[in-house]
Amino acid sequence: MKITESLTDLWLRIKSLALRRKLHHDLEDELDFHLAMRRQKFERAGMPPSEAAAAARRRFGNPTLRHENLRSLWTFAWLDSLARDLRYACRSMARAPLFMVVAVATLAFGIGANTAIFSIVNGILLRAMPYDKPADLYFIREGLQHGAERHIFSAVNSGNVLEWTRRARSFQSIAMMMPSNDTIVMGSGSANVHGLRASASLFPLLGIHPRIGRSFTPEEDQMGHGLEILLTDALWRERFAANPEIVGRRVSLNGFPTTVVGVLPPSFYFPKQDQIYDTSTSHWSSPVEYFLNLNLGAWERKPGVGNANFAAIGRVLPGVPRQQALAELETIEAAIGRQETDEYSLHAELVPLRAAIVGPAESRIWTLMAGAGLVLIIVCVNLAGLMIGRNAARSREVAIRLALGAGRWTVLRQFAAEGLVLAAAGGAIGVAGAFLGVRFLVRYAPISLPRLESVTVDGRVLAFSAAVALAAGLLCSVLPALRAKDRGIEETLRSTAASLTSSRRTAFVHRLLASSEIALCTVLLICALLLGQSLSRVWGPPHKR
Amino acid sequence: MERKEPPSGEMLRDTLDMLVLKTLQKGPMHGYGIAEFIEERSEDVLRVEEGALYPALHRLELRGLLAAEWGVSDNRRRAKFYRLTAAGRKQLEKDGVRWGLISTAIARIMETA
Repeated sequence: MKITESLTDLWLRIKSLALRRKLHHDLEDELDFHLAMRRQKFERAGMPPSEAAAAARRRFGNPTLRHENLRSLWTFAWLDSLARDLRYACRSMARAPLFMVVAVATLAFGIGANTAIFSIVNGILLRAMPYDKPADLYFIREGLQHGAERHIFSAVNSGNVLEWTRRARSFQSIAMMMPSNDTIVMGSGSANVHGLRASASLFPLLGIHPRIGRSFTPEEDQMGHGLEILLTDALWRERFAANPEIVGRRVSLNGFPTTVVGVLPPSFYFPKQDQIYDTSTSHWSSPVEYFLNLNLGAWERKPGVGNANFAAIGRVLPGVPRQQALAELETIEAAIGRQETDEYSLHAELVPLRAAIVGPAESRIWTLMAGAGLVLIIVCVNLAGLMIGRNAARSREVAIRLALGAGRWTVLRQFAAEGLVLAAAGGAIGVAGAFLGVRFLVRYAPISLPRLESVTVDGRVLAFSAAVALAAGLLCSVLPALRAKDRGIEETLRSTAASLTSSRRTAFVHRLLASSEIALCTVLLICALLLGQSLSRVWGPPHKR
Repeated sequence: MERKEPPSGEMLRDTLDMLVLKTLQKGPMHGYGIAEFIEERSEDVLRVEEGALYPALHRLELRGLLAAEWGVSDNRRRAKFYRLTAAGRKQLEKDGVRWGLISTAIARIMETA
């Protein structure tokens, strides 16, 4: 079938789905019309009316069958049977409210935990850094080597950065920055704010354009061009009431007159002050609220060993491998180092931007994800245990249905439908909980994780939750049903016809269930403890290295 | 659950589709009219079963080769009229060529045997 034909087919079927009653009437009318015409023809040929009607019907065949045949062409047969299965599942769940509440609550917990943790994985690890071609961006660090021992500084010498910018051919551009904490005074109010001195090259390098005004010019990198400030969207809203006329206004920064040149877009993200270095210090742990022009003094323009106060980000030219860029920096570094000392040699290192920012947290986040996955598996196994108990009580119902001619596949599908109804309810509650939890997490940041701002329940997270819920629903319903299948119908009917407790086999099954429940609960407890331990490690202060 | 269609091989079904398309070349018609036309034209050699005709019509409609509209018949009853679409016309052309090839081929074999 050609693609256009498939599309026509799909469209007409969807239309008929929306107009089910109309489809029914149309089919009926069309077939009735045919029957009537045929009868008329027979009558015209001289048959008595009653005989004509009978003859027409005889030739026509079973009208209900004809109708059904045509209807099946127009509808999605699986949709009808799915709807039937789901309706039945809802009814049978409503008959066991306690079981339903327990199952839905357990699933909600498991799916909610996985949704929340996955939104962290998604926001921090999976989503690309919000910059132009982020894979080409590297933090550049400096190091000293004495014999076999290399010591990496957390920062670089600003004069050396100028040297790289001048001489390194592998880089499209290199930017440098340095934290700066100031008191800003505007009008009558004042506030302590946290920012970075940054070179003009930073914003083109990241591919970021201010929402109003401009970013810095290369001349403003040098001292003597005055002080200029670029506000983040948050600071602009918080301290300047989102004033659109802000550009060109003067504020006082630590007593120095400073001109506002622009405001960054709300989507702009930058690591916290300390994340631009290799180490974490509580002094520089604030989010960046503004950028100041670099304003580099003459003493800061001299290359040399030590005096490392700045952080540097480089963008390598497309297609240039990291090794090549690094080799070039190493050559320049060696030359700078030789001019000062023979005892040490000066070196450079390139750390991919993503690794530098989220790297330290990566393994801890995956530990969390694994823990959440474990909890979900235990939830499923526990629920499957409950299902087995429930199925044992229902084995008679199933046996009767099988005896009455229901296919095993039909019965299995019925169990799956129950699992899906449970998972859908649990999933909805779990996702709602995770949504609130993630909002709380981002708002109050009780844990120290990089890029926490970008953690949200987005489409990818919802797709993940749906997949998890589907898998959980099938796992906890189909597995027990498969196990229940292999008992013969006749035996089940006979054994359950007698009193339940008198059957030795049933009693054995019950004992087995009870003991497996206890075993599972123990496992659950241990896993929960382990998870708690890893949680406290993530929640706690970051590791010093 | 089994819904058996009247025994009609792929070739027979395609042939019925072709006959339906050909019949509708004259203009819009309802299902009964199509059946009658084919029977008359073939001098009662071909008898079109309702159990095959309507599924064929609906399948062609779903494929977009036919379009259907509700109208009023000669005896002033509500009836569903089918007509050829552009895609249906194209299909009919292709079917015609193919049918020509097959029928001459079969005829040739039957003559020589």
